[in-house]
Amino acid sequence: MDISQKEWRDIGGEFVFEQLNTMTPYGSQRKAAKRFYRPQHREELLEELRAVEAYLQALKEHPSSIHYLQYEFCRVKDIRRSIERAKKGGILEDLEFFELKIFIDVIEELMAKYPLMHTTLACELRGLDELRERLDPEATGRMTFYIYDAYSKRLTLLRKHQRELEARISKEKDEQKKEELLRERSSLLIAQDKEEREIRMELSAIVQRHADTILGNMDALARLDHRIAKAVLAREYGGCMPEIAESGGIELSEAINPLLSSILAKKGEDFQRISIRVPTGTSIVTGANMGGKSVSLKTILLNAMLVHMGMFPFARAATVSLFDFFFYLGDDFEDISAGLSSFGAEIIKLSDVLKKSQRQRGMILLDEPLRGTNPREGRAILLGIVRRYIGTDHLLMVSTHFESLVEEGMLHYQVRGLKDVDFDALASQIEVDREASLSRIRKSMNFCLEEVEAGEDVPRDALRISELLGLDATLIEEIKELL
Amino acid sequence: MHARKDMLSDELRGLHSLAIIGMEKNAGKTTVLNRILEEARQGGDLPRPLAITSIGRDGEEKDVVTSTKKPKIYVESGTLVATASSFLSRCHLTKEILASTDVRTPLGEVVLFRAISDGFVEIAGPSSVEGVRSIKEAFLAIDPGCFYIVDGAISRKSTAGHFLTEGAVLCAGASLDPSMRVVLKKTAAMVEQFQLPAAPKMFSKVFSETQAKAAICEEGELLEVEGDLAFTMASEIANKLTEKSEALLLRGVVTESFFKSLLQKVSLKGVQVVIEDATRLFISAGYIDLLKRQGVVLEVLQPIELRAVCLNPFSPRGADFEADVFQREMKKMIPIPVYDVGRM
Repeated sequence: MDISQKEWRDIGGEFVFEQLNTMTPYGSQRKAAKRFYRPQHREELLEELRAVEAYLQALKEHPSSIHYLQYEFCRVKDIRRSIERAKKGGILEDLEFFELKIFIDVIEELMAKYPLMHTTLACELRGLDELRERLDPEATGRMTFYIYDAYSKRLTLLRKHQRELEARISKEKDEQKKEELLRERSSLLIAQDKEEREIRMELSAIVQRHADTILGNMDALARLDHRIAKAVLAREYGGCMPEIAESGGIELSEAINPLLSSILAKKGEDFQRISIRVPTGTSIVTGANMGGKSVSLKTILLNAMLVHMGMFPFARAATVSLFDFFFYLGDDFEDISAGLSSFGAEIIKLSDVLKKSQRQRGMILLDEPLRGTNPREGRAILLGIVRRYIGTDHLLMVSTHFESLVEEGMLHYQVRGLKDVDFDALASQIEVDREASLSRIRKSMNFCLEEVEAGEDVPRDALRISELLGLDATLIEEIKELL
Repeated sequence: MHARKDMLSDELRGLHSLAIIGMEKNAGKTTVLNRILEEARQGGDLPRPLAITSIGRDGEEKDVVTSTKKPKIYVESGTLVATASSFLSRCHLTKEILASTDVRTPLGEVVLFRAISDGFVEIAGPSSVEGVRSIKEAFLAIDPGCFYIVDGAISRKSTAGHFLTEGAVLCAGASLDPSMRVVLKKTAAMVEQFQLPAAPKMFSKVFSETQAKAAICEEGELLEVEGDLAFTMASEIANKLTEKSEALLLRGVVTESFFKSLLQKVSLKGVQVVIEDATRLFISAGYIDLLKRQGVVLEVLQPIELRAVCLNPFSPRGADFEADVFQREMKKMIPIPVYDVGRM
């Protein structure tokens, strides 16, 4: 993955993956692979998304069909190693034949139940009738296995002989005669073992012939399980089929971030949906504190990445073009382990992304970069960097508190913040309790990002918020003088 | 073989499940199991089919002195067996694989099979409560009328908890201690533990709703007590107990030192002390009497009917007990039937 595990967790990616429930070992492996579809994989990505859409439709119109499939998914065990072994000519053991028999049955059940989805998407699973019959020579239909008598007349005879012998043994009183009988029984057992081994070899050879079909079924099963899981997730959190544009940036309509949404829900607050169009080139985001900008950046990045992984973004509508790489510098960036200051580590990271940008098309999001250094130099460095991306086909989105960073050719977004708020009304509602007042301020905040004129100033909400939070009144006056 | 007047399986009438519990390893559990299986083969009165498994490893314990393998378990066709997958090759009989479980052991997943022919098996089973429960449920799913037999040793470290059976047979022997006197005393004390009365069913339900190691019932409320049973529990419990406390529920192993510690701090008069089952109590002989005299009422959530005691006079160290004396003395001390493993 392009970003670190920590960053993925921060933007809510890990949370989404935890909700993605694959039920077969194969589906889980496919999910864990975290495949990214790059610009050259456009056709494959479209195929994946269309499959998710087909299953989402089936989920909406024939929900019980999905349940039937999932019931069978739970029966699937990972028998890949056994099949690979058989493919190379190895001899399987009884337990492996048993598990293969169950696998074949699951595939059959899935093939039988697939049509209940009423989808035009074809079922990729292949039947294994010959193998099924060979593993059930007495045609009992039972989901059990042993080397059946029916496999060999010789075996049937040997076993019959053994039973007769054992009956005589249990009745025999004479110790010596008993010893003889036990010896006879021993050699019968050896003969049986030999015969059973021959049968196992034969059966293994048959499995070898069908190995590729079986392995193909595993891949098909992985796709089916994974795609259905994606559809279920889309249903739960409100995902939509994205449009994959040939070029351009990203456009989201009423997007959410499930992790941040659930965190807010626990506090009794709503997640304000994000609708925004971010073109290629440089976009600067300014605005008040208290989470609006970071949340927006994380939500945009998360949904873009999810699309690149063949999943439905959580929005009412979305248009995304494909990037070669993603880059993120979060609001929580620390690289103390490397022994550098935040600033040093950030510069190294930014230097890397600049180099990468020369060869590949990237989607780059920076959340208040270079805030750990003095504002004058920080602003200058940042300005130098962001100027590089103006008019390119990269997508660079930067949130910042620095003054006057926006220039010709850049887009400027601003969090609406407290612009529309009646301050007197709000002030009267603020309680003595600090925690409640923060919450109240947050509730009055408008987190919408709106496009503003390039030259628009950084808003002055910080002072107003300080006032609301009860910062000493005389101090407030002094500050007003300074501004 | 030898003439047998007493059929051990007679003692098991009415049971649908049985635990063969060893006071320690090498107590003769395998011999007892084989005896029960043999009696069943000869027409003994037990429900069929038999379903067997063990807690931890068995059928492959080595004799300490001679280093020869202990007797394997001989099963009749039709018997259900649960054992670790790597032990399947050691079961020399025609076996029909019925199910593989998700119960993992160091020797592989536990697999269930049905014996199609007679033959010897080696059993390695689960060692966790969940594992034991899963196996039992798997057996019952295959045949609800099966007679479920599990064997295992009592151990402080055993997380298997109780064996989930209705009845039990206790195996004890010379391997427990070189002194016959000591073995008799310890065994009698354990037998007494099995006689502890059952706690009201309500406690079982209430306790299953919490994960805490201990809890106090008071006027219909359940107070959980935090802490590690061994060290801080006694103080924690003493702090939380009041005159209104009705019962103290204890999960896991409960030792004599714990009681001593607790009784130093508080009186348990009038409080029902409930433990999971008889095998969870690790106290010395006579301590139950002491507790009774102090007014402590001890009960178990899961009563297990102890139907017989099987004594093994053979010692791995070579100093065997005199079988007749061993049996005679044991019979004097306990109210339940005593059998001699040496004569099985």
